[in-house]
Amino acid sequence: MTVTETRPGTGAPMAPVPGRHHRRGGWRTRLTRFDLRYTPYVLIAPFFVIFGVFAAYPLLYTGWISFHKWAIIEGDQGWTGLHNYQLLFQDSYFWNALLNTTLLLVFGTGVQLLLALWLAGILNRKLSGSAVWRAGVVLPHIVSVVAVSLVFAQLYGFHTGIINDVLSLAGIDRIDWQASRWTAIPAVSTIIIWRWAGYYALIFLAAMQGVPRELHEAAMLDGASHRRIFWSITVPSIRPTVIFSVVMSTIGAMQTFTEPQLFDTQGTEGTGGSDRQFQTLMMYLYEKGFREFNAGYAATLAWVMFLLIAVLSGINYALSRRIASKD
Amino acid sequence: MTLALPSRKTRQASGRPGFLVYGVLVAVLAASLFPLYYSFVLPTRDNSVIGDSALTLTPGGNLVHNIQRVYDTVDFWLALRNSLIVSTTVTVCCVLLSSLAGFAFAKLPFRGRNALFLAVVVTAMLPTQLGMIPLYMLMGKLGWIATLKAVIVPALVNAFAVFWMRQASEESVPYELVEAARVDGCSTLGIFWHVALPAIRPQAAVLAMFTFMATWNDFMWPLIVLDPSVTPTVQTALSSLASGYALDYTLILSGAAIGVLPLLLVFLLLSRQIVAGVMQGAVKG
Amino acid sequence: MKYQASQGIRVAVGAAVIALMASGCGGGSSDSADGGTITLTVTTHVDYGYRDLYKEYEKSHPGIKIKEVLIDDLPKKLVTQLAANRGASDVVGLGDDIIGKFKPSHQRFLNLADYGVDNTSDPWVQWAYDYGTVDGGKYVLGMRTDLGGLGICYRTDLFKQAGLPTDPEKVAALWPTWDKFTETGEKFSAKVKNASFTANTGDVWVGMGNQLKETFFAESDDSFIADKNSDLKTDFLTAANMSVKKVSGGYPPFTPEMANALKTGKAATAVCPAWKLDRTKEASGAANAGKWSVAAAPQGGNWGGSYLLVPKQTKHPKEAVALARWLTSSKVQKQLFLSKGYLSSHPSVYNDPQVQAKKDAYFSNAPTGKIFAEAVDAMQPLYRGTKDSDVATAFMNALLRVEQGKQKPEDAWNQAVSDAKKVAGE
Repeated sequence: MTVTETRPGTGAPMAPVPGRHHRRGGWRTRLTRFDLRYTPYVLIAPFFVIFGVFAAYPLLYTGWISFHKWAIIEGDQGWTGLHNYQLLFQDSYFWNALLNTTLLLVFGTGVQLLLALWLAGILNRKLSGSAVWRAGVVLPHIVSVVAVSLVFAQLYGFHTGIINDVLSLAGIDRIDWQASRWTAIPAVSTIIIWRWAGYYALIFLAAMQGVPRELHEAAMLDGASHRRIFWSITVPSIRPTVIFSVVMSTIGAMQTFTEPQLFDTQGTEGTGGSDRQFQTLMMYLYEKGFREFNAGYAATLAWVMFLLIAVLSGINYALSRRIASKD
Repeated sequence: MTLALPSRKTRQASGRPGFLVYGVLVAVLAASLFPLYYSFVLPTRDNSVIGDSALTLTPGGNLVHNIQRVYDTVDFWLALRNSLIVSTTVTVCCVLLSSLAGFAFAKLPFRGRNALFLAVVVTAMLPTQLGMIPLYMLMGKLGWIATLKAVIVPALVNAFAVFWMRQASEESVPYELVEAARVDGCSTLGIFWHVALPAIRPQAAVLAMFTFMATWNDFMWPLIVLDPSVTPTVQTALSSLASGYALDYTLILSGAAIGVLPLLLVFLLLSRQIVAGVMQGAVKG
Repeated sequence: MKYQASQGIRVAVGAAVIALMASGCGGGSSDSADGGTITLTVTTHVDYGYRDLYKEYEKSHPGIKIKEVLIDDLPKKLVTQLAANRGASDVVGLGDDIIGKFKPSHQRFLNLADYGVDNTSDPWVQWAYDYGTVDGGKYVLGMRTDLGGLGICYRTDLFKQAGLPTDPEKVAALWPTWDKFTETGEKFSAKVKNASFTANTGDVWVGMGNQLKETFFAESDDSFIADKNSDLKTDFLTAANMSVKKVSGGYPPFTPEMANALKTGKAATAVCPAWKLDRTKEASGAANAGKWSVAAAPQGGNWGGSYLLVPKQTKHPKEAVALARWLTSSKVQKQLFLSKGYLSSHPSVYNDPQVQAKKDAYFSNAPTGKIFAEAVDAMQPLYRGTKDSDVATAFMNALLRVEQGKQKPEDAWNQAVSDAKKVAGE
């Protein structure tokens, strides 16, 4: 089988399956025809029904809330149209959170995906004890968030952090990691990379295993280096998975919440640092909704986030299609 | 230098990774393992080691005492039982339902397929946790508040899973096999069960592992919709452990350590599946 | 080719179906009354130390069962329950810093006045009672649990090293005002190089907070006045200058770093409301027993304390109110002080000779009962606006900016005021 056959959409022809069963006649034929025509809908129905009731409905309701002055407990305080949206676009905290989220997207999620791809490439080679390495990369995802926050507090602490201990041994001043955007963003990025790189490495690895070995071996006989094989054979053949991962991790990154929240050891109540230097959109949403009880504004932020995600995913999809198919 | 190059090349051509690769892997593994190790060491100590500048790396003798305190403070058995019910149900249903849907999207022709799949992709972009308050009201109307159904049912499907399993079917289920089974008189469900499911097992195992982890570690929604006195989960029980006036880290981490054990077990079981899938691929190739 | 799904998959599917059916019978209403037994659920935002009391109450009130729930993120859950009008506990405990946020929604809670709660029999200290009411006292929303009478924990060994007295009374005499506190700190820093005088400025600021009559909002009409409140600004600058003058060590409140500083003697003092003694003990460990002591804080004051409220959703209003009233009664609060050290909100309790005589062995036998009681007895009622807790963060963050060396006190104040204005919607 060649690699191109695994592209989405090319696996199954859209025309109905050849109707050789038609000739048999009787209830069996009718049953088969019914099966061919309607079973696909039965198979996808659970998704649409459950999603519709338990996700789409609440979200549309959230959209409705965004057009109102809406207190979280007392509910509707009157229709305000696009007023919340106007306020949001003039809100400097919103733009600040958007900037931070974008920076984390680039430095956290971007690096995490590259690292994941690279790790998957290594794990895909003939390693001794491969099960151990494979299990190892995904362990960070199991550790409870409380433990993670304690460990990173120990690493990035200003007075007692290990990283600062090492820096001061090297004669460099201790760094207050939380104090400025340019130290906080890289620090939070490391937490994101640490938690997610292994996760995506496994996804890439699962896809790489579908790539026929003969291709590798043929290229190796031709004297191609591992790097070259990796970039010109392996990566292009898992293109759909790469696109999938880029889009999905972008969606996840736009909603980054846990990592910066647990980095905030100074307890700034969700403002993400003394000057909001690492507050993300999701943190701001929680601040508005659950600390200030302003559900209308939080709902507006939710919908703007959705639109941003949609646009960004579209761009990402287009870009990663192009990049992944270059070789 | 000129001498070193060819030798490097031959080693690569032989396909066996060198010391550098193993070095990197060891570093990655150490970084992955350390916090896990740490979260198991702290429960064996007492609170006075928290915040020490030198990380406390050696176990102490307080483990039994700390675990005892966890069980005294919250009903951790009940929490473990509930988390197991929720995570298992969600994992199995989610993997099964999304395998079915993914298979349909990848291998079955039907009218509106592309449009419906686009709808799935778009729903993946909806930040679902943002609809928390309307969802809670809905649960109220259904009478599901404080029952495990409230956390199970909304999690039964998700767009990521459908997308992933569609990809799996696309890549691993040969079209000729589907055709052949059809000729043999298999129904669509039969084809799914006998042809598709065995082929997509490694990807399904990956999905199962991730779904189980995500459900097990889910916090915000269970905290809001469940009643910690009647239907605690491991994560909400941890939140109860964290509500002392003085944050009792060893207590919290003891709970976290017990709570992570089932996760490790599932992980070990499923990673065997994934490895089995790799071997299969190797045999095929 | 094998037309066969693996055994494992079949077993898993079977298990899921069973689990899905089993999950249907989990849960059940928390306030079900079966066989004449009423179950009351009490949810609090931290451990109020009530566990043994529940057992006692169940014994003396046959037919009542009590369920204890602790959730550190309670407000998030509570607002959802109130919005949906479902699922709330029979009694909820909220901190005095957050109860203001629920005052606009007081209709979602019982008016305890309808159940005979007032401040005549077994009275609480007036200001604490008043803060739990709305509508000029006509709507009684919550009943006060404890108070956070203010003291200063200090390390006697470091004080000795700095040539300062170590006796609580003499130490308190060093700092009749917060300015004198700073001056003492400067004297301390001149002598002791490897420790800072106090842990952080945020705690100092919160400690100061309850000594004014108004802070961020005007008592008359709840309007934003932080920008015009010169007393507030003076307090802010006093606190902020502690980091400029290196009197504060910059160990942020409630962090492992602060715990470490207390344990290793890197900070000589910490602001200690009554409920914080336990935390300080826990953080610094048994090895430091006897090295710590407690003295009165400059100008006294209060930090923290909670209220018990009864949501209107409860099916057993009478029983819930009765339980909450009992838990906040002077008899029970005295018990709690003697066993857990939580200071009572009843003057009859904190003026009780037995309470006043209480000494704490860990803190060099300092007379904690007397110190905390005196701190709250002299208190003026402070007006808190509905958005107090929202704007407070702006000022805490401002102090942190000064501590981080990002801003000068005056600039930090200006930004705090404009941030706060924004949050307050001015």
